[in-house]
Amino acid sequence: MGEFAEGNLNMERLLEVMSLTQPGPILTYGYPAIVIPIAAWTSGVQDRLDVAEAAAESVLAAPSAIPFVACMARVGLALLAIIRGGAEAAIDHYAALKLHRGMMLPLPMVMAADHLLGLLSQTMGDSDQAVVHFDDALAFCRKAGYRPEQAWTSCDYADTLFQRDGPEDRPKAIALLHEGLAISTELGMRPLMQRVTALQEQAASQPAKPPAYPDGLTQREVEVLRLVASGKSNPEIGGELFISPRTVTTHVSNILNKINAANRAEATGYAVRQGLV
Amino acid sequence: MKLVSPDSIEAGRLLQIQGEATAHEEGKFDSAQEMYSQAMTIAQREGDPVLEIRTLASSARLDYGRLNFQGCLEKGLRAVELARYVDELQAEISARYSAERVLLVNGDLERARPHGTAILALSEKLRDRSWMASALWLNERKSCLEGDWSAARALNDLGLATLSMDPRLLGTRVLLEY
Repeated sequence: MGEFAEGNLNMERLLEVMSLTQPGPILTYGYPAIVIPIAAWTSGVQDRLDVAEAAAESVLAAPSAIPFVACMARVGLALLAIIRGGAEAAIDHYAALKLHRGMMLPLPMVMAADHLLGLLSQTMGDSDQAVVHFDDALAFCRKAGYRPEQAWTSCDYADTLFQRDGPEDRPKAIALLHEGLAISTELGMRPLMQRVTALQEQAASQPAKPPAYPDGLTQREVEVLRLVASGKSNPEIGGELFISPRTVTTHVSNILNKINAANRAEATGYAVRQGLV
Repeated sequence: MKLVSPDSIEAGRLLQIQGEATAHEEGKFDSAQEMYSQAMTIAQREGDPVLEIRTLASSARLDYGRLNFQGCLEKGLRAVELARYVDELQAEISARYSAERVLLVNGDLERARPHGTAILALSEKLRDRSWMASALWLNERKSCLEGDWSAARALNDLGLATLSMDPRLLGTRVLLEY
């Protein structure tokens, strides 16, 4: 909601309660372990992370920790690894938490497990795996009607897609940001609205990377090749692309050289094999 | 246990109570679940629905703590069904609390909703501050999952007015405000 002052007031009270009890595998330590990193992720203000880390470690150090309290601590450490960009730690946490796929993380039921696994995968440098998890998290949230988590997942998913920057990633990321902004605006989730807007501005300021085509073909040559493959003559291609037949001839010649094709029929076969048509 | 006949109803009741202590005070989860299993066998053989619902509720709670959500849900819902015939409010509220948490974790908001309403009513009937705080917290979580912030705040306010130092209510209030 962006009410950080009120949030901090309650954070102080939570930490006060924690300070009144002995460290151990109890909710009094489990909550700060997970709440501090989530608050840092939400607000971008990364203070008290050392407190969260100490609380999580005190929970995990206890041999008799109830698994769901230990899970809270593990999720807290996983978020710390994401915030700090710790790839090795992310690998460990991913392995420990992947059994929760397809559900919400049990406490405090804020985050879909696949959302966290997506962020961990991204931190590990595995964008493709991250995308699979984000897709699953979004499907889960949409089906469940968990709209705030759906909005956060959309935003983090879009961020990953911008970083991966594959051929279809940019338009998908932009659509996800629209989805995230629509929900966050409707629900008054101000920190998320700001984050989505910042990502949208960043995307608008960076021109889209031209798609990479095989054998050094340019965008224009691919356009010409597609028309060649559709059986069009050079004058017809020129008419469609608003270029002279002579320019088309030059393009076709360059295409045949680049793809090592003897004629238009071979070029057509190449276009089919490469998935260009 | 030495004073009662093994496999008797008395032994079953003691096993259920001993399971609680073994799980939540000693942290011996496997031993506790074994005690619940023995208690359940006795309850069903002897046709003791009170022992059965208490054992199911305790076992469901332990299953949740051990992240065995399927087991927790099955036992919780069986206990809720039994509660139609047995006046065991403590066991019923515990069973509904366990079941609702699993349903929310599984993304099944519609099936979770009636349990949330029932838990609030039961906690008021029991006049138990700890259960009131738990009921308010779980309903607050449900409201947050849906994005109903004003309901979530109201429930959290009531919860903190009931138990001001509850880490669940304080923790989720931080997240709500952030």
